[in-house]
Amino acid sequence: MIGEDVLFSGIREIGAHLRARRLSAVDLTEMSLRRLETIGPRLGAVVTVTRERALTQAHRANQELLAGRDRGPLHGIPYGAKDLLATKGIPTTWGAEPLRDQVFDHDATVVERLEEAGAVLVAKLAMVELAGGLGYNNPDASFTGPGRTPWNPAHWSGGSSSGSAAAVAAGLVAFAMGSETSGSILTPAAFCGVTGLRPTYGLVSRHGAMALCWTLDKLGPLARSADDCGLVLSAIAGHDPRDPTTGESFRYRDRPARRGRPGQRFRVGVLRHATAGAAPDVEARFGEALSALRDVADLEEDVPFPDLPYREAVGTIVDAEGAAALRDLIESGKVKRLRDAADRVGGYAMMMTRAADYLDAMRSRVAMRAELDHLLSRYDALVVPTRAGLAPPIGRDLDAPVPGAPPPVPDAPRPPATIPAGNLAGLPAVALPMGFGRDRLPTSLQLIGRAFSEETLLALAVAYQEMTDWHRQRPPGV
Amino acid sequence: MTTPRRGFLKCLAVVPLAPAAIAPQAAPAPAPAPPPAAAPAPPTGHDAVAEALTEAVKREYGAHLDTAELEAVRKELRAGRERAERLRKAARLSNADEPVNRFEARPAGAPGRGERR
Repeated sequence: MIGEDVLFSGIREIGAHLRARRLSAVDLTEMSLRRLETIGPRLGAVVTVTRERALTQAHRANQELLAGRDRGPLHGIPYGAKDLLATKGIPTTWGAEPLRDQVFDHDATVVERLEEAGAVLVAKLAMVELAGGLGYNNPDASFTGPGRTPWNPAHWSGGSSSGSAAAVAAGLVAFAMGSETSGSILTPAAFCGVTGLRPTYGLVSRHGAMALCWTLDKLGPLARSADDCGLVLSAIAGHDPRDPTTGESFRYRDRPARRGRPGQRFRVGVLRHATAGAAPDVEARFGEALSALRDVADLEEDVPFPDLPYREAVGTIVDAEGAAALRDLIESGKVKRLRDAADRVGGYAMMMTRAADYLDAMRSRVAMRAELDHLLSRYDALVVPTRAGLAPPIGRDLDAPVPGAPPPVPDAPRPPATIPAGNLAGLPAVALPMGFGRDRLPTSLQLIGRAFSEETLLALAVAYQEMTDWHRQRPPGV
Repeated sequence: MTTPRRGFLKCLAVVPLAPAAIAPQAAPAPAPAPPPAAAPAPPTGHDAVAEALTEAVKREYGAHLDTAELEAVRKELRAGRERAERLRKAARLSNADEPVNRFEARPAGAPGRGERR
């Protein structure tokens, strides 16, 4: 008898049960729905359980699999979508109180593609209101309440794809879709101890997704493992005439590890000051992760990361594009109904961004992209901790100094700003669980690659996860 | 081109005084004024621009913002100005450096040159 524990398995393993008829897609979906309805609210992870649509899709998957029509590895697999992806006839709230009744008459392209792949949409998952674009500074920044990491629900799940990460970590869904403008897949993946993939800009269609920044937004999966992320990316990537940034395709090869083959080891750069200012637990786990990587990769230590104004450029671009994208909400005053105080005023300052500053940010982006590509051309991946700190407690002002932390030392080395840099340049990255810190809070390893190098990045990530079991750990109490 | 903009900002900076000038005539006479205190130094640099822009926000969106929120906006605007300055100093752009730009004259799906639908 297969129970709900199966939702902590990888997609291939769940699919094997479905194909061997040890488990039906309907029973699997019912398990997922039950967990979403009972555990989901405790974690602030769920906006809408899509029970009716899920059961319809699950029954169809069952019939098709019984009839021998196999749509591939996602067939019959339950997943959740961040609530900024349009779903026909089901509310799509963007995490924001003023939009809790918003309903679209179409599905986002990624939702369409996952349906074509036979995946079962079981829930719309919680997120930071408006994807955090208006400058929130508190974990409690969604009309569904704060997102909580299943590892320690007194702590934040990270944002803005809060529910996507928490739902995967708690075994409510097999995988989830998230989005990233600057850190919104990687951060919740890190704080919830799951694997997150931020694809190259333009690899996955954003049609039907809430726009925050047209030149920065990306959609990607959060899942149990890098292998699962590869399977999902295969289903959603590729050209979409409704998103003019798309064009490249992606095909995931089964378990493409190059482990132990002479001359084909990975080449990995460890960034200088990668753990500067990091929590001691993060630093220790990062050292252990590097030891594991040495089995499959040649590591070059102390690789300098170009010191460029990534944060400044991303901040300016988010302000300008976000103000335009969300202008109706700002000018109508509907932002006053948002949860987070900073979100209620941030849009008005964003409206004052100078056009020249925005264009300078977009001009500086060209040179930054070139410098990063030049650096990345020498490696299969660069590695750093995904986040220098552990998940903060619910209630902490995210802009405030960490209590008990030593005061900042002038001229002390700063860690490389890989999240704004990678987003500014549109680069792919993977966040991988790398063990735990105090209070059983997860830590995470980030691999960053050259544009459209997902196949290599995932191969390295899969190799790492073949040597570790952090991604298979299950949070207590769920 | 910069003079009109500076003039506009200067104009905004004095706007808060305007309502006092049109106060009702029947208002009671003010009590004798205390000895004049030293006037605070006017803001300069980013502070001055942030203050002027805050006044612009107040004019355009003031119905949605109370005093504390306007103060939060002012801080955001000041931070934004500092950030833009850091970017400008660090990026060192020249006249010919073009921005990232995806605009294409030919609409998506339109026939190529010399082709017909």
